[in-house]
Amino acid sequence: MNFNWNKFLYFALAIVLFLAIPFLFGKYFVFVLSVICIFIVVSIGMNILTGYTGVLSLGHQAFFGIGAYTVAIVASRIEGFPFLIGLLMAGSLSGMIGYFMGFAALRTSGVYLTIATLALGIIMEEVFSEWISLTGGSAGMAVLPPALGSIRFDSSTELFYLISFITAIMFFFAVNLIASNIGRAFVAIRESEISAQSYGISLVKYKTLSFAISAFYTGVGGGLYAYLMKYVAPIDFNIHAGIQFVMAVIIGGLGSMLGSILGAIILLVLPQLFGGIVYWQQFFIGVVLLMIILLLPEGLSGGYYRLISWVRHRLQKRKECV
Amino acid sequence: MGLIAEIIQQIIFGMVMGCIYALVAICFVLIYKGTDIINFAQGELVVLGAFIGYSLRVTFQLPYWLVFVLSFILSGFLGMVMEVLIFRRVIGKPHLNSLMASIALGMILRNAIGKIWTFDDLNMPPSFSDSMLKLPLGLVISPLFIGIIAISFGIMMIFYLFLNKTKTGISIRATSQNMTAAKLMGVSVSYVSSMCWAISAAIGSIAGILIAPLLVLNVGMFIIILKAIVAAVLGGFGSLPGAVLGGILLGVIENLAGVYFPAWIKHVFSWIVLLVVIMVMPQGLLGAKKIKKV
Repeated sequence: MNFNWNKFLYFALAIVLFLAIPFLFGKYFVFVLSVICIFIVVSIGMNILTGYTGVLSLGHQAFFGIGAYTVAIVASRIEGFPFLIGLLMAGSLSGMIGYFMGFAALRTSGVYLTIATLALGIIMEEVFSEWISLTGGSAGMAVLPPALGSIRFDSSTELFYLISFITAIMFFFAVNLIASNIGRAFVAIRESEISAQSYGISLVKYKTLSFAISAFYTGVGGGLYAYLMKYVAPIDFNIHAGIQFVMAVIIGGLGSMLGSILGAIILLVLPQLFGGIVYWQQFFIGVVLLMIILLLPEGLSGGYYRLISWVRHRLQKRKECV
Repeated sequence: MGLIAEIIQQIIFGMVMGCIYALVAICFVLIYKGTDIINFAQGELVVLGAFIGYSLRVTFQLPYWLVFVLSFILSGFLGMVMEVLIFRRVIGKPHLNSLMASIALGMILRNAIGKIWTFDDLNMPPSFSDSMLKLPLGLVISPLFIGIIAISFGIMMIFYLFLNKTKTGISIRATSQNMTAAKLMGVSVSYVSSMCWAISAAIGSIAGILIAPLLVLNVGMFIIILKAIVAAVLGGFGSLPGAVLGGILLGVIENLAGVYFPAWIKHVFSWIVLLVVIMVMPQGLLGAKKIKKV
């Protein structure tokens, strides 16, 4: 087997550039990049459920919140709690609740399921703000920085490395999952539940699995969010957050890993274009979303792929003419 | 006051909210049946109607019957405009598109309403006197409650006659049964879809004006109104009598839960009911069981 030096060099260069980001740009930029990384994790999770399995969820803010509160609680109760275990706990707990939600998914389908997830989101928001002994109520609670024994990730640079590293791992796993049998089973269920069943794909197994994995990703995203913000409050996990997650995958492109990344970036960059006035931001995000749904239903990544194939097609034609 | 009297009192209070839920649930079901879209912007349509009513009443000082008529017409027109601009283009597309389109419309409406009027709380003057009248057994009721219940039932009756006696109503029913067959029989599906949106927005505005004095009129009211979707599911989505029954039942259940459980449960009780209904009997109270065809 010959080793591809070119590819390796490009890869190494990309990593070095990436590691250099905190030294080249300001603190704020690094912070925004960290938030984008967290959103990428969440929108990969959303995409596994909505884009690949075809179930629209309006309740992912619940999973995000469960992840964030899990991390917040273990990190503030136990000094120097290893962050990797904290994140795993965050993901597993919300994954478990997602698994049970998956059983509701078996009873119904389509819009009913969306309404059920909406209900879960609203109920969990109320639980976060009312279970005061555990969550601190609507005043929220502070989160200690991630630790590993005596090592602490305090500064924004360290947090950025940590978050982007975990994002990369999550991305790698998701790409492989989608290319595997499981990912293909998800897509088959999206296209037609009945024909998927007739090919021997168990709805019980794969729909609940899709919910669980999606919730796991969102939970880990929530855990990272708690570490980054150093503070959690129920207001971060209301229905508007859930709508944002869905918007990220719709704007980016359903059923596409590139779409998850694009959506996360757009969703955080777009509001900055309209200044600091929140209602203008929300208003224009609504307009952009509507435009995308009406004019570019496959999202930005779909538009990008279409553009590429159009350019290739034109180039080939020109070659033939010459 | 005895226990029985107290329960009756709570049922009367629940009926008031229940009638509003029933009206809004009718809007959900109508749009679902006519165009196969679940309109998540319905809460915002109700809030929009209430704000229009507020302007007509407080700014222009019109009498209340004129406020109802004008906001009915204005909201209906706005609903039709939304259908022509947006939702005509997503009919027949996957559910995901129409759902997201309605969520996007909701975001736009929420912020537009806040920008045009205010994001703060407003006090809507009640459409009927809200002083409490004493009844035997220690019960109390205000003319406002009687007015809300009477107007709601009046609208439901008119709506029932409209669906069964007029040509437009019959074409809406035909479209909801089979869109292709209705098209072949010469029913204009886009006209039906426009009418569904217009009626939903119009009925929504009446519901908004009626309930606003009992709640606080602000943009965030949509989340309370959205509970009507629970009523629609409870009655079996797609059944109009079910929507009425589900709405009133939900209002009463929610109010009783508020008395006998801790206060925070009341806010989410209807959503818990929804989860239970979906898991235990997804076809609802009056809905038909759906058989999937390949």
